[in-house]
Amino acid sequence: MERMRKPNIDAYLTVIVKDKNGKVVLRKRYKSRSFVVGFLNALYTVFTSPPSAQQWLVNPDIVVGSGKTKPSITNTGLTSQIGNGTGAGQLQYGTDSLTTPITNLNNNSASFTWSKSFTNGSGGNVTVAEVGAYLATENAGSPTTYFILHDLLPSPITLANTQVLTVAYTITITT
Amino acid sequence: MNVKAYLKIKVIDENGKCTYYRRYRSRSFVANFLRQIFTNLSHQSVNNVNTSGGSYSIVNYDTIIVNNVSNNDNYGILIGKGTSAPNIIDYNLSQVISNGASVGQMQYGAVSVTGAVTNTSTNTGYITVTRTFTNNSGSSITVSEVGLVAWSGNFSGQSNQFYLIIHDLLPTPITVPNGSSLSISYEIQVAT
Repeated sequence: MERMRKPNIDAYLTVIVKDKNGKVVLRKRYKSRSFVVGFLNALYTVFTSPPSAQQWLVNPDIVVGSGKTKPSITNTGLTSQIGNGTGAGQLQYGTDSLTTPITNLNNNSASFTWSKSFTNGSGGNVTVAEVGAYLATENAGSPTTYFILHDLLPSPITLANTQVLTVAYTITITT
Repeated sequence: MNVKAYLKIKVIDENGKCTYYRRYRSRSFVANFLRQIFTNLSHQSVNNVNTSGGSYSIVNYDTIIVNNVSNNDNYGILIGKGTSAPNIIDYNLSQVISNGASVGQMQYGAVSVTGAVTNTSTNTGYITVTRTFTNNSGSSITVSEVGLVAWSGNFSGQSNQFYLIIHDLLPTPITVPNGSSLSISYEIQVAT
């Protein structure tokens, strides 16, 4: 096989923990392993959607969990997703946010960042060990949801009560 | 890691014999693809560039359709004879070889897309986009670039635009004799 140059689509995972005063107490950036087969299934759906029922991508949704199982290509969700709320072991899910893509002509790359914050209002510690994301395809009707990204954090992060975890996926393409 | 694309190329002579086969790792995706996904997911409109070089505003209902019918070179896999190195802001092939049987043309087959194949042993999966081009022009044609163009769709509220999402320059141009066909496949792969 001959190689033309470098790939293609990469994902980087940044995790930031802030205390109740907004001070950053932890920041890590990883190269994500990341995409699972759900991403291909979503692409397949939009690639092949017929003229009478054209499908597009919708509903980005980053999720966090406490599972420690190594991600697999066939995963359809986190091993153990942390629920949304202020009960014991829960985190308050923020809104998914995406930044406008940036194109860099010097290194022939483009990227955008997709992030979400999770606030610990549970009254106790909550440990996050895995991160993932969903999206869906839709044709003016009920969306079909796909789990597309799954990462096990190299080191679990324990959030003290009132701390806020921000998870950001930076999706980069390089030509 | 993540998402890679491979480009598979076959030349088949008029007797059905494969006379050439190569598999390359594609450089591949260009900025249009990322911007399309961004607008879909964020509902924030940004501009893309269509295959004519015109700027248009993506709407969140726009999609990424590639499975075109035969004898249509608006979208799907396209081939060309340009030799410029791909760039992140490319919006079309440098010199598209158009559909037809006249001098310098190739007959475009229908695009097929196969669903995801997964391999749990290697934790990989892929989908494949394929199109065959037949040379009935009367003389040989040299192909040096390949791309994947998507259609945004024309459903209510969609932009009805054609836009480039992948562009590759072949390491070695391929000469397709008259009567032979060229099969191009993009294999888009994820590895967990």
